[in-house]
Amino acid sequence: MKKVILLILFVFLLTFFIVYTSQSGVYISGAHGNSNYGVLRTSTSSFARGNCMHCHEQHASLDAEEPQPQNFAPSKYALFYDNFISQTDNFCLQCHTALGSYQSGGLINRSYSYRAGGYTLDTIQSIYEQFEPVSSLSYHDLNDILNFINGKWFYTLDSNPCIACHNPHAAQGDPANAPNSPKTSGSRGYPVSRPSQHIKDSAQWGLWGDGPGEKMSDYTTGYWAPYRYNSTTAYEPDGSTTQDGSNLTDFVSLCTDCHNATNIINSTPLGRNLLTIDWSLEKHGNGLFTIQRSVRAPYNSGTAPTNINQSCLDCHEPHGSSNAGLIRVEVNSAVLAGQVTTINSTDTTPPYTDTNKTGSYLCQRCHMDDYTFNASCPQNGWYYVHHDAASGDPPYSALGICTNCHNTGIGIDCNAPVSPINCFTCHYHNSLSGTERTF
Amino acid sequence: MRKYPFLFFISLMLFLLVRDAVAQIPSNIPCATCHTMHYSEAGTIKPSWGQAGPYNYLLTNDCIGCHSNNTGATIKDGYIPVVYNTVPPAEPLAGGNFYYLINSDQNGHNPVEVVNTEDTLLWTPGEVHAGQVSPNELTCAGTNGCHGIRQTSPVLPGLQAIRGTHHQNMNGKLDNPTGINDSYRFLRNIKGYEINDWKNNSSTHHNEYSGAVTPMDTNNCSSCHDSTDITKIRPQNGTISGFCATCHGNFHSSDPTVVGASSPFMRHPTDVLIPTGAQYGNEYTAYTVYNVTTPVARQVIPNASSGTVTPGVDIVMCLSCHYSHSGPNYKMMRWDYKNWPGQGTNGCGICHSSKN
Repeated sequence: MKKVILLILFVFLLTFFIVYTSQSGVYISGAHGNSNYGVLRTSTSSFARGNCMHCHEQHASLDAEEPQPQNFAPSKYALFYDNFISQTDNFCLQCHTALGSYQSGGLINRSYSYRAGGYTLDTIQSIYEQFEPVSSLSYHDLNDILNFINGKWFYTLDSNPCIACHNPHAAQGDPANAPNSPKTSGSRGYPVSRPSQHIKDSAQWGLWGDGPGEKMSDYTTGYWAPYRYNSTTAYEPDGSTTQDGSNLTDFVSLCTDCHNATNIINSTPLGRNLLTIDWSLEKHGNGLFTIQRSVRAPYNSGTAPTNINQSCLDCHEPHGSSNAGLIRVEVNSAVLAGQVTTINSTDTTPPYTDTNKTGSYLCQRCHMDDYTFNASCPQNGWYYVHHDAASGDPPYSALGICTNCHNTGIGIDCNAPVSPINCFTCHYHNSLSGTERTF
Repeated sequence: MRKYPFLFFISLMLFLLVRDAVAQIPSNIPCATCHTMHYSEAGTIKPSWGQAGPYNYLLTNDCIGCHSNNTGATIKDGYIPVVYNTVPPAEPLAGGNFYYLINSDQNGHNPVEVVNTEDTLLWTPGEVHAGQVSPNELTCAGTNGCHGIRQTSPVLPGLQAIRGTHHQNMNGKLDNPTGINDSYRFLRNIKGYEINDWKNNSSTHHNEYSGAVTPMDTNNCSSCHDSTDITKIRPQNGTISGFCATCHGNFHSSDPTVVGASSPFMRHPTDVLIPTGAQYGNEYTAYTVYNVTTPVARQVIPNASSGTVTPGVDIVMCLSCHYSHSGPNYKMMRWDYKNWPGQGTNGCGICHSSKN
């Protein structure tokens, strides 16, 4: 009797599996194609939610007239709007905007700090805002992206730069259909696809991060998740206690499709080429470091990996930020103490005259500043990690000549009146001091 | 021994009669079935005739009068294809059925013969020339129609445009049209294979449609107008999509600002190959078995229905998505596109296999 029951149960489960998987296609499993919360253009709302018509006009005509928005001409890929015009004017932003969205009911897209960091006080609520130069100090420049991907991986100048990282026919919300909530382990979706895997067949150009081999824990055994905002028990990205990256997309492999040790990428906003990144050698990546650099929790935990390896989005927003360098406004349980106003340094040789150390607001989220070592020291000071044995392995003796590096001042403690040095003078992606990695 | 040649001859004649019996007017049908000398019999107009006569060419009815039925049968008397049933059609023919206009004008072409006022469109969608065919002007044949001779001047009524073609109808493989009778379904200059019972009902029993690897340039007058007589309309390339373009020209053109001949297309392309390039992966290569929901066009008209689709060789056409007459779905679609994905059907996914 028991065997009969088990057999019936098996047949039932098998039938359920077959029926379920046969109905869950790539597109209708994505955010755009979902029949409950997918695309629904205001001017084509008589079509079912998720229908192709909401993005593609087969004839640029419905009842012999062009549906709104009317630009009185068809658009490439039979889209309802031109694919890409400028940083703030492209097809995707016709819906992914807070004001005047063509998505019926509007559309909210939160920052990564909100969704993964749990920083629900972040007021950013659209992709447009994140790309828009007024509200964002830094952003992925979409024209630069288009110029970079053109000719690679089946992209052309007719491509939309957004699809460098997103497959519009497969991308999922993360969290799925919960724009005003951070991620949870039960609401996960996968929004990104690797540019190096781009192909028009959505079944082949799959989502990245949703399957085996695509997690941070697959990229490295050294990943250790930062805390969620205002927490010391919940971790990014989903607020669970998982820390090893088994619940996090391997963003390193995604980002380094472009941002790697060899690609030359021009940045129009920065007026220069971007720094190369060699995550296999950098200390925040897979590169070895011998002594913990005065890190904060959770990285100073006895259970943390010896050679901690970060994900790009532990520090960076993917679209844009009010900080320079797409640096997140919230990192590792707290908001940055101030705005990071630059990621550039004007200095190349000591003594260093560039005193903008706003970059250290980021460092402060994971590394111990002077105040953490000693409450009589100022916050966002970095004497200890550079000069004091209490930090473990300071690179510079406290008894050296200060003005060898500092432009002015002299002293041998954290309150010494020496001029600060822009962190990015020495610490940046792929930076070296002699043969020593400094980032 | 003598009887054998005679039997052979009789068998041959029977074979020839039966082969195309369904598609042609059978030779044993009396003239009076379609014609009347006086549009009167026993002092009355017969109930089986059209009541709006007398009709040209001593006919007993007009186009829709013959090709309609008040039962669900879509073949009358064994040889008349029915395109308009006044009750739900039992098995619509390949072009669809005007019955479905009862639900919405947006389900099909709306010829005046169906006596259903067009209340949606103000002009022909995609027309190249403004006012080509105004609402409530569309007819089955003629100047403002599809079948028969189409000329802009002088205006040609439907029956005149189709005169004599039924008697001279040719069917099966029609790949070298010279007139109306040897054009696919009396569509001037169109090539194709006419299935003998007008039904697209399986992967191996269906019409075959003509296509081209590049659409016509509808900016070029000769694409639609005879080069020797500009009043005469026909698609230069002889394809079924080119035929549609003679009215809906802005939906079908090699002009890259209108549709285009290669990706990125401005509108959904027709008369282009189902793609197979590396950038498409396996998306279109999965479509290899002919599906009457999304028929394809051929570069070369085959001798019979083929159940095979070959991406990279076969062609997407207007009729891949639309009925030619009318169907049960919005915008003459071959499937319920409008209600997908919540309900409806993803016919698009037959070609766009990963957009599912």
